[in-house]
Amino acid sequence: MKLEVRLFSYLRDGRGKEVYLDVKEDAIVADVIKMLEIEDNEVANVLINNFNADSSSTLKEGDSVSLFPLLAGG
Amino acid sequence: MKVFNEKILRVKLKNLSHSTEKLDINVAKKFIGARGLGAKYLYDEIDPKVDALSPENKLIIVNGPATGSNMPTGGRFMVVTKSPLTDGIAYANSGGYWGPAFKGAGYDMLILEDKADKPVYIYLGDNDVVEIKDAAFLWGKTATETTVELQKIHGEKAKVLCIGPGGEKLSRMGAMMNDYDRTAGRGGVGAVMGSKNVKAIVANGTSAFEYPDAEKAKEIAKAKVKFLREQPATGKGLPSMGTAMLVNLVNNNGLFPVRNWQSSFYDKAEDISGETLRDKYLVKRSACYRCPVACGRVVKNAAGENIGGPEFETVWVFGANMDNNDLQVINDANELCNEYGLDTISTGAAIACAMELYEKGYIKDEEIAADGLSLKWGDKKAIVEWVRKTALREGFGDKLAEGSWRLANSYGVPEYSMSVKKQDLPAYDARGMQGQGLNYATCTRGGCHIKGNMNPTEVLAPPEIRLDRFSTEGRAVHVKNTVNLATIVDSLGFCIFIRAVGIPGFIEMTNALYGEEVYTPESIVEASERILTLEKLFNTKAGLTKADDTLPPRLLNEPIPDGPSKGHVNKLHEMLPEYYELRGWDAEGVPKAETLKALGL
Repeated sequence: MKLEVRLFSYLRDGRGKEVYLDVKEDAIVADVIKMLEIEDNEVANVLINNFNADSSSTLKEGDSVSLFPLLAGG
Repeated sequence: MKVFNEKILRVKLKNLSHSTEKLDINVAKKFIGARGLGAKYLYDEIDPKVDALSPENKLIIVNGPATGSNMPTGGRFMVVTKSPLTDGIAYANSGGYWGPAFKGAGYDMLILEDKADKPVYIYLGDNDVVEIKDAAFLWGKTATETTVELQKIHGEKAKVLCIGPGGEKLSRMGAMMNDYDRTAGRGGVGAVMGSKNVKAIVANGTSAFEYPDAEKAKEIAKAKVKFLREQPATGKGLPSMGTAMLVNLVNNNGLFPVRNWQSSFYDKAEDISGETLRDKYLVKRSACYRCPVACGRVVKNAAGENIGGPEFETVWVFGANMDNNDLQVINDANELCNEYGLDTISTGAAIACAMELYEKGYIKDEEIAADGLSLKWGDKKAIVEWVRKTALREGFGDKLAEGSWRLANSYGVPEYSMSVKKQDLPAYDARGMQGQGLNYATCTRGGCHIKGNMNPTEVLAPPEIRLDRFSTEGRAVHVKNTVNLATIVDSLGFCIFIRAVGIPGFIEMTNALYGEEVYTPESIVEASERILTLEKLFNTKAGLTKADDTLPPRLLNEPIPDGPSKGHVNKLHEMLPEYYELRGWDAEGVPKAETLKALGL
């Protein structure tokens, strides 16, 4: 199934802002992270269609997955 | 210099005299330093009911034990006074390099009393040199102009803390600027300095920090720097994108207020994000004293010169909050705030409030016709020019300079001011972050996030440890702990961005600087409770009540209309009683007698 993956902060380095992936039907977010060669512990925030999720969340056709690394700031 | 020089400099501005007195080290330890120590002295020395802009108010500038040391970020100082914005206590924190130069001159604390007849500046040098000099030639100058002039006289190494026209003209958002673009921003502290006719304080002390065990201090500092470089936030995120890196995350959680909080999801957030700032505008990074993070941004102004770049809150307030998606406009507005000496959050919020008041028909075209500027959302030229007019109190800018609450109240609709205790809220919509709302409502200096920021635990944290931001259950204790930590960091003289070292880390660094075990985790937390209760006591005596520990009606009654946090309001009433209980305050938020006794107050 087709997904849009939006990357933020330094996860964009070498990958770009948006990546379009074709994944297997029962893929979970962790699979997407692995496909993009991002370390597991580099992703702190996962949003699916802008709602809070995590690496174990399931996906469906056309989902937009946003991945953020651990951030800080004021 | 050392943890404390045990020396206070008191300047009586009316007769331009000064004197020094001893700081009791045991009092310093009891109140930690900086913020806590400043609160103690302010509480003891002024009537909390005085007018903040009257000669009876005092302006206290105070270092922490870490200020000037080799510990990472150990260079911060605090300005403590009564706020002309909230009428409660103000404590504004700043970094840069001024604090160590002040401690290097031999002092822990500077107390400015009454009012000089004419503009003056104060010079503090080595060998107890204290000069109070005529500042007529500086009055009206911007922060950069003032700094350049004073460095011509006193040398390039002299550090300058000053006000611009914003503070001179007593804007309730007037800020104090140091090292060009570092700001003691919130609460109108710059206006207090202006009301005393003090233009600048030049610190030029060069004495070195004396360590009880220099090798140990070096080892600990090195280990902490290594630790910070290994954390994603302080090792990669902040250095790479600065604080503006939060824009996309906060927005994609539906927590990024738009058009004076009428919406909380900005479709153009990417244009003003930390990523865009880095990719299109960043010249280089900048750092404060002994800081391995270097979250500061340097960008270019319209003339192509390097200037301090905007922080996250600034990007939000001049961006989404005014429906402006042009980062250069934000950079320009930020530059003006820095040069004129204005708090970016409260200045932007005043303009955004005015834009909504105009949209809703309270401010009419006739009223702003003479200014030749519009109050339409996203008007790029107007946004920047309104900042200038606010600083100079020109035309309608005179009303803006009173702050959003007094502005909205003048039309009979204070509910359009998105503020708590009249101090404007920052960039997190607390309708989608319950704990942040409790923090906003109870922060002793008024609407503010950074003195107990629930963002790390309610939004940023990885799923395994993140709190459910829509739940109020058990939230009060988390807010209490977060506020305590911020109070400790503020009082030690460190930067809150190294919070990851934790209370044990802060204690390790501090005890090493003292050369003895001054603090345990229990005793430093108790000290933070003491400081917070004292601040609450000051506010109570100043006339603030439980009615002021609240949120704007919009946050309590109007659900977020769109985005990922749609449908939520803040349920403050479910958390506030428990918070008071945990603090040992009664149902009205007044510190109980037994709490005061237990804390030695």
